Amino acid sequence: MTETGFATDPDAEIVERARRGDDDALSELYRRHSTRGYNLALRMLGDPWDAGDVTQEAFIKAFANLRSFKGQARFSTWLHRIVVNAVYDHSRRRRPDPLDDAILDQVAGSEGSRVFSGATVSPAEDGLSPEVSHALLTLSEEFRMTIVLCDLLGYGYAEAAEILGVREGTIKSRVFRARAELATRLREAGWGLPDTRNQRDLDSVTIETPDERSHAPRAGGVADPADDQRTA
Amino acid sequence: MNDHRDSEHDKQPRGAESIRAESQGTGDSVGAAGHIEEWEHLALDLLEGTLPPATRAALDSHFDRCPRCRGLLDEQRQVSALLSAVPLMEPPTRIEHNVLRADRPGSAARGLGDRARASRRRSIMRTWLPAAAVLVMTVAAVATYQQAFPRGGEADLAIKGQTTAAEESQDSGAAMSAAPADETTATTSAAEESVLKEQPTTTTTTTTLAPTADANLSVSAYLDALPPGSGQDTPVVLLTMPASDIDSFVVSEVRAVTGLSPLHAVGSSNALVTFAARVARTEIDALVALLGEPGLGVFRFVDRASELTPSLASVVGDDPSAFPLIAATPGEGGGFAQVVEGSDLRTLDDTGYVLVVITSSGGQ
Repeated sequence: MTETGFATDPDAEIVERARRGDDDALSELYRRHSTRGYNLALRMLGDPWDAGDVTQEAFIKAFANLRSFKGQARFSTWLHRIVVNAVYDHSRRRRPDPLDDAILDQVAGSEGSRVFSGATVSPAEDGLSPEVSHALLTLSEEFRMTIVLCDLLGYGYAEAAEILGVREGTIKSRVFRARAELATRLREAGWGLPDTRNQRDLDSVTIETPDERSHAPRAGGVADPADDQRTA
Repeated sequence: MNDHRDSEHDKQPRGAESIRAESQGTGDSVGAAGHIEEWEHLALDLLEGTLPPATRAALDSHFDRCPRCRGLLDEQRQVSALLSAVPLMEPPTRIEHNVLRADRPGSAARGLGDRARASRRRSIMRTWLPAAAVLVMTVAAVATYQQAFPRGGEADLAIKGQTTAAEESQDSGAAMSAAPADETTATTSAAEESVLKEQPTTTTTTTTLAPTADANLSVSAYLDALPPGSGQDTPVVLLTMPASDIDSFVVSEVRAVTGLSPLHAVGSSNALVTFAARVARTEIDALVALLGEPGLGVFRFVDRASELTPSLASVVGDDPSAFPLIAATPGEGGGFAQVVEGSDLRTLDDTGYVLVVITSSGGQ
């Protein structure tokens, strides 16, 4: 059983009001969590339209089933599980027929077919450089999900573990490997990630405190449920 | 940051191959010998600033001597910084409109939701008693789960138990309550029914036990009725879901409701999502009641762990290390051993616990 109880959930009171039919409370829940949910879907799927659909589907499901939320996990954890599941469902449905891949390869070469799905999105819409976006999409779904939760959305390892239903150690291992793989992909793409493998400057191995990382809500006034778990 | 190193560094072995580090929180001594790939978690904790000073110093001294590991650590920090700096995009405004306008409890969907809830309470419990004190009890919950928002073009979340509608039943407050089954009753008889009522003792009957007429029979009451000593194997509650397509939302519901984590990662292509947990007998009714809420399929209740082993093994698949809970490892004395996260390996025998396994019917 999880340790995070309803009592410590910053959303508890709003959820309670929403359950009683308070539409304002529903709006508030949406405002508090939709940005994170949407960005999770966006970075996993790489397409704003798909991400919008998935986010919408997940929130509708969550709000329709608020009664089944029993408070064993934080609301945000519960909600993100639903978003995560919606993302996985979507990518399963979307997964192209292998034949399509083969045809695309013939038309555009293997590189062309890989880039194809994300190529319609401009950086302005996406908020992410094409190189980083593409590198992210080449990671395995598992790695991408973990790194999106932990690095992009700032969730603590413990809460990411709870959302994904794996051990915290598994999360850490995935984060480490996903970052390393992403760095390799970026270097391959000529991205300016400094190659520091041969640096000897001791001062570059500074220890970051949790405060040095930006966990503050970055948009939309979204409360960051990971804050107090990160340092715990 | 070098200050503490001067004072604490000497406490640590200096050789790169012999760094000993305390893992955060657990106090376990972790051999951080070798290079960064072998203690990834410590490297991440280092970047998070959550390592105790002594461990930090030990790692620093390795990084002093190993430029490759230093480079990889820097790489970790750089990628993390790169991603942390990515701005969060605002979701399209149409979503808020659509979400808040959608039917939900409180609007037209309320009636539907209430009907769905009521139908879930039409629960059926049947029991029987097979050979040699092997009690097998099946608790079949009619699981009509009417998802208010079916996904476009797809089957919605309606899941029907193998045993269909019983009469509208029971009070709403109780834990799972039992009602006479319909067609499944045909496999049983009134005579057998009395076996349970008379608190069966260890017996060699090969009777199949009827569903009890006692509508208030709970799982824990049933367990209490087990003859002493029959719990050599840990009682097992199996909850099965249709194998064809376990909707991930049902999975998330089970997770949310029970706090359990599935053995299989949600979203893996393998549909055999399984949960397993060790539950105190005193809590079993509450758990089963909770599981009735998401409208899951059929509860099967067996008291012999050995019945479970092959099927669970097939469900668990190739990568048990990925599971937050590892259950159904045969333990000493015929019981079950289960790794519960954060606790020791335990043998589940007659310790007052029940192993609850939730799986797709394909896992049986």
